[in-house]
Amino acid sequence: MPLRSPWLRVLLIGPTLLGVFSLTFLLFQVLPGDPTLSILGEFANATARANLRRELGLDRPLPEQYVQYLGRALSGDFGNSLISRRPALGTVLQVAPASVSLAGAGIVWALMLGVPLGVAAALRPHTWVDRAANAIALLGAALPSFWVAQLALLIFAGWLQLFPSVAPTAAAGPLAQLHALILPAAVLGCSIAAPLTRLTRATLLQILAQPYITAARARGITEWSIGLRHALRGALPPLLAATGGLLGWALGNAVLIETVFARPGLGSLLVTAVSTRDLPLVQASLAVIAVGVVLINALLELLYQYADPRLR
Amino acid sequence: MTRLRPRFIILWLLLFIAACNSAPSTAPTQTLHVRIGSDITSLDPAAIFGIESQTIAGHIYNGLLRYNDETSALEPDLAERWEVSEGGRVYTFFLRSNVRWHKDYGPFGADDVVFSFERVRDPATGSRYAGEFANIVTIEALNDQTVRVQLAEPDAGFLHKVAAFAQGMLVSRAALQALGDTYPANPIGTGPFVFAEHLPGQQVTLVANPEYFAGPPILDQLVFRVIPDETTAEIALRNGEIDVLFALQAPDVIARLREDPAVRVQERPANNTVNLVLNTTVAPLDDLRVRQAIAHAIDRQALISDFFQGLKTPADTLLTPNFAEFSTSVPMYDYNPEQARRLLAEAGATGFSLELYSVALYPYDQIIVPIADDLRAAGIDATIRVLDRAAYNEVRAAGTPPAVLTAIIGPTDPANVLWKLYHSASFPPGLNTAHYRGVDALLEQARTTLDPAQRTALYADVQRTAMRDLPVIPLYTDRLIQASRIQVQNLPQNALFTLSLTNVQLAP
Repeated sequence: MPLRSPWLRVLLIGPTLLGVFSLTFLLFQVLPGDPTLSILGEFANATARANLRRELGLDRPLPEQYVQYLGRALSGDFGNSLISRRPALGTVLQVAPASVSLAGAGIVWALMLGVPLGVAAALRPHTWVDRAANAIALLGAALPSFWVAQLALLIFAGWLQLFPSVAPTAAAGPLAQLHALILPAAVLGCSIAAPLTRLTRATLLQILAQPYITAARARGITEWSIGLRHALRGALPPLLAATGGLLGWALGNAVLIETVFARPGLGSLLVTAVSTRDLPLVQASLAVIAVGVVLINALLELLYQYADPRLR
Repeated sequence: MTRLRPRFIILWLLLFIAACNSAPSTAPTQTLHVRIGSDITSLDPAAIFGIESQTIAGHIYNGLLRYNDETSALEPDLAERWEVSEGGRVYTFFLRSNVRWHKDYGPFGADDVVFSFERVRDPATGSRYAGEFANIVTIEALNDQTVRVQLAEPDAGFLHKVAAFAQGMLVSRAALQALGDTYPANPIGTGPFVFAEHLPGQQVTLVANPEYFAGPPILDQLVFRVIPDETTAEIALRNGEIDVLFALQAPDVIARLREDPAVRVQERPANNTVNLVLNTTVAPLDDLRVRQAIAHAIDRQALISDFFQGLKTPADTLLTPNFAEFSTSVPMYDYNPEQARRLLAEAGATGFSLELYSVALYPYDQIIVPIADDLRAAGIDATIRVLDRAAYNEVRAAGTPPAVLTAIIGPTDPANVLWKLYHSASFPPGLNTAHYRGVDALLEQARTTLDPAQRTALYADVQRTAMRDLPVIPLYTDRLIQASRIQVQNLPQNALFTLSLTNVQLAP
């Protein structure tokens, strides 16, 4: 695991954004589809479309557009959404909390599911327990999350009525919001738990072979206690690092789950924005996602140093 | 490091729950929750599109006229009455008094009507509806209560263009001047409900307008919830999380809702057909026999009975029975693969390859599969091209696709459908990607003919000729299906693909 200062991570936001923005700009040049058609509709004549292209600056040479685009994007001015004509960044920031809470809760579920399975597998390696734990984790990753989401919705919201089928309206209290978060987060957690199971198992197996574990065994401590109290603590740093890596994955997997559970989210917003070639909205979404992922990784780096005494 | 003991964690959680529950509840008593399938695009009448945005805007704004929910007939809205003179070239509208704009933007008057229409016409606005008003020469306010519109030539469908739908919805000059760029986030109308809030991807909230000229609505609040998935929406309806679903499509969802005694399902034929537009300028589609072969090759009845489980109805022309000008005396094409193969052989086009284009939107991206299968069975090498909205729009605007699925949703103005799909002036820009020009003269004559009987005869001629030349194959007539909880009372069903909630009330 490379050791990096969390501050270095924060400093890397600049180059990361530069890369993200340049790539988006390039992709939008390659993609078929013209935003003026999305805005003006199929009955817009050539003059109206040319006027709009001029107004949006789409008629200027590509290098000029690129520099202007970068300058504005890096200074945080994303302009208005081409379709709703409302501030792009404001729209994204309104939606972001829903995504962050779903991704966060999904990762908590993934940890709650993936780590115990990994511990069980490591404590009984090469037995049916190990194979079952692996199979469960793999099943979660292999089943399409939108299908699992619909199934969960049908069973827990439709038949058992334990959870609401859609997130409550904005007027509802935080408890109701939390209640509605449980089911989608569980589905998301199942879909991303597999790597945590594998990592926990591998790390624990390594640690369980260490002399201090043998010493603990000699003292007569039970195998489960060794696994949970001694070995798992040692597995914490790599788990934290892996959790950071899961964040981007969770945001991506969330798109379909958001759709099924009718939750607003950055993923769904981004998909809609791309389908209408709404560049300002795409840009603002990507910027918020990139900054968020970098900041959270920096935070995890801090935790990582805290969890690994050698780095303190 | 101090350890958090379980006791403290439980205590902390209890405190958290208590804090959450102590939040005061200020929800109004009569709130109706309505499902929308996707988020709104814009609530500015100059830019609006999509049935979700039209539905919500329809409760914020009024037009000069409006459609009767049951009969689709035009009736007075903000214009109390109107006169047509100079052979259909001049329309004079006499406006209702005592109408006020939402949020203290003052009284509604003739100047607002002039402003609204001029704004749509102004190229600087970049409105997608500028073409709808292209026939207007002048709009003037004769006094505060009277507006006169001068047309370049008579237009039998002009009143449809100033009815409360899309560009016909009226905006306030004072509000647009005061709000400027922030108007799209603060739409101001004169309608029964006032815009309160839009949470992107989540919901739009409207509250009752106590000053509404026809009296305040019974409901206190409308909440439109974005629920993309129809199965999710179905569960939400059964659980009472939402009250109304509209524009339902999924046959299995509809079948289950019909069996639920706590749910009322309403249906009626829509104003639109769904069609396959064939490019008549590319070989071998330029050969009438090939187009006839395609019409005979597609099992449209199976599409309706199998794919849609009988929810849609057959179509033999582009107009539906909702139109007064609907005609049944048109050439018809039964499902006959033998005949299709024979026609293809005659035209020397056996085994030609055909690209079928559809937008990535249900049900179009699904029905294209059985259509392609049918064509392949008749010996046409059909390939499917499903594109996202932007890419689809670009391909269609280029006019190059050989075959494309197209539907025109809107009012019962025959010109809205027939002109847009059949007239050569409707490309480019427009939807006549068939590049058909066989009924131009008839359409122009029909549009300027004010006598209803004569006009109906002309439109019958248009339908007969075009169905003979077959630039467009109608696949089925759409059907509108909405479902509501039985507590929802006085919910009408209009033919416009939208909802009318003004007179709705909730039983306890």
